[in-house]
Amino acid sequence: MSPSVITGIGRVERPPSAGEDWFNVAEELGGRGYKYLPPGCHYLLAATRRAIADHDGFETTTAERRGLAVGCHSVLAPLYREVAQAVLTGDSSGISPMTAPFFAVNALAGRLAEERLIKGFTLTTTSPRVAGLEALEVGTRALAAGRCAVLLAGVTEQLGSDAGAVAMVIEDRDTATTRGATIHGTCRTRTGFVPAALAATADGPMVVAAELRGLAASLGVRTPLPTHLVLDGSAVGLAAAAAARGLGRCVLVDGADQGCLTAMSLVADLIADGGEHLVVSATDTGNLALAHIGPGADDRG
Amino acid sequence: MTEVVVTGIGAVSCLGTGVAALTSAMAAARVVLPEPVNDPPARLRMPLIHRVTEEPPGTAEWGRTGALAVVASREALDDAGLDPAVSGRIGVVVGTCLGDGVAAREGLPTFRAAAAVGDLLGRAGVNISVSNACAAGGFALSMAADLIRAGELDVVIAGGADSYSRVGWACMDRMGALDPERCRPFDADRRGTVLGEGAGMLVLESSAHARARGARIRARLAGEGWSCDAGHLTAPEPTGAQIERAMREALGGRAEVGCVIPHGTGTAHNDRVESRALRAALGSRLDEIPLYSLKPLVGHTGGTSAALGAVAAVTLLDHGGVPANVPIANQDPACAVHLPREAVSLATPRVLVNAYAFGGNNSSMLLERAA
Repeated sequence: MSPSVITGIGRVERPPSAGEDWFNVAEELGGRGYKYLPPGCHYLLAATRRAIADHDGFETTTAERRGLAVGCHSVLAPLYREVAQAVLTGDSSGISPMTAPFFAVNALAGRLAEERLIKGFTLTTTSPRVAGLEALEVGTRALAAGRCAVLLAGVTEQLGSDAGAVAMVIEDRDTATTRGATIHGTCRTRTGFVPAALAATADGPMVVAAELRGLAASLGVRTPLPTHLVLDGSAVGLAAAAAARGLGRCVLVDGADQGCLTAMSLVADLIADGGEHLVVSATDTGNLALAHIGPGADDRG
Repeated sequence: MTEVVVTGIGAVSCLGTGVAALTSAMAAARVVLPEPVNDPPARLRMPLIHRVTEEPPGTAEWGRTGALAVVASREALDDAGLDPAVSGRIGVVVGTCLGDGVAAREGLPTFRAAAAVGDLLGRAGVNISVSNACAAGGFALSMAADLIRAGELDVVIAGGADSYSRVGWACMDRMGALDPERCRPFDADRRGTVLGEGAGMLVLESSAHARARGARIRARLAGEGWSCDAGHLTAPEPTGAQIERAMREALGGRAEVGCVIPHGTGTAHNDRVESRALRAALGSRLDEIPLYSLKPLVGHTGGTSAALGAVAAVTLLDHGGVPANVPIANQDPACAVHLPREAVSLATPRVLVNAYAFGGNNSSMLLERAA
């Protein structure tokens, strides 16, 4: 199988100055069947529609050969709080039947699978902050293993200003070329982990640096490259910031209050840029991720 | 293709800590009644739980779900005779449906069980959290196998963990999916499931790595199947077509199976559809293949269930027998499966483990005795 490429991208993201009601459900999704879904589901469905329209050909793949990987972490936090409150003030009959299934976070992917007849598989990844990049990683690994012929991968988030979704359609290069698809670029991702307690020791920066170098090596990345960091102020984040200087010129995005959308939005921006970049994300739990973004001509697997 | 083997298993459930507690209860085959949920402020109509009675160490640090995953992982690593510090390329994949219940109800980051196991290993490496609801453990094991087959890792600690979540219990209560008495899959009078807590973790290795270090190989992961119903969010697609497809993929054309550990939740639809799909996949042979229904003993442990099913499968392969099923009053005629009430031998050393989930996620795994 040839390396995977991105042939469709869609995104919906909360504008910086927008209020809580920034997303227009009727306009993006239509009038019926969507209103009472959680916002994170709205965002994912809308971003996917845009990605599939951009890809132009998703439905030509048989349903059983379509795969889906979605990263989420805090996207349903408001719903969880509502449900928990409902059974304090009343009983479970106070929970909306429309939203009850979403106690299982994979219901977001499930709703999308229903809409797009994705019968190959769906995967929902949930590592803190890196879940979107994690979805890219596990999804493309499943694609390479032959578990699907076309992959929808994305993220949905609702954490303060980090609200919205990014979706990508991914297929192998030969298939894309044969059908004359527009190849936006490549994104190859690996996630890793360094125990937070270890990252906080004197050896921590060295261990984190070694882990990031290992992730880069596993992707065949040739540094230095412009490196974009989505980090917080944790020991892991600080160690990752120090280690990332070894990868290239760094640009820092403060990830302290960000969920898993920021890193994926950055990936989408950089794909549009057309050059070669790295994105590094890390969080206080010890989760790390490194994504290599390449132009359409990049044929590394 | 790289062969993936199981070299260690670990479990914690309402039956106690350790695989021995699980197998002892399996051998006894007695009805295990759930207890009331101990969450006084929460008003649930069906407040039952199969609770892990001992507070797992590390709860304050990792949350209850993470702590359960760590307990089971410790046992699995000991069972495998594996020292993470010197075990080559090692990673973690943990499946969880609900994550940490306390964090969830506070609207805090919830899914930290995989990171907890990473902390236990104390070293850098792959660490993946997958939340495919009640099939999460099955997907975690399969994803772990894919990492080994791709040559990225030699060893993966993989499985599932879940614990009480006010949000999870309340929503299942709202959907009318809970039984007022106990979990009784395939019973004509079943009225739903009863949720439980637990963790099941396995050490998966490439067979080359396991043999090189002289490990005891407990089982071989012979096949897995994935599919998605792409239909109703909470009810299985009535024909069971995708469930059947996942089973066929796991079976990989193998004609004989010694036992099936079904998903078997006690809900009306699941048990009926699974029975139908088993018949479609296995044909008339199903009449002779014993099913071993685990959930009457441990409850429906969410993302843990497939992993505990895999742990149970390994013990069946070890012992060469299938324990008696926990008795049910009357088997539903629409669930035409063989549920032995006495222990039987494992005629073929091969066990199929099924797990299905909200969102239409389906997974099947085939474990067989290693050569």
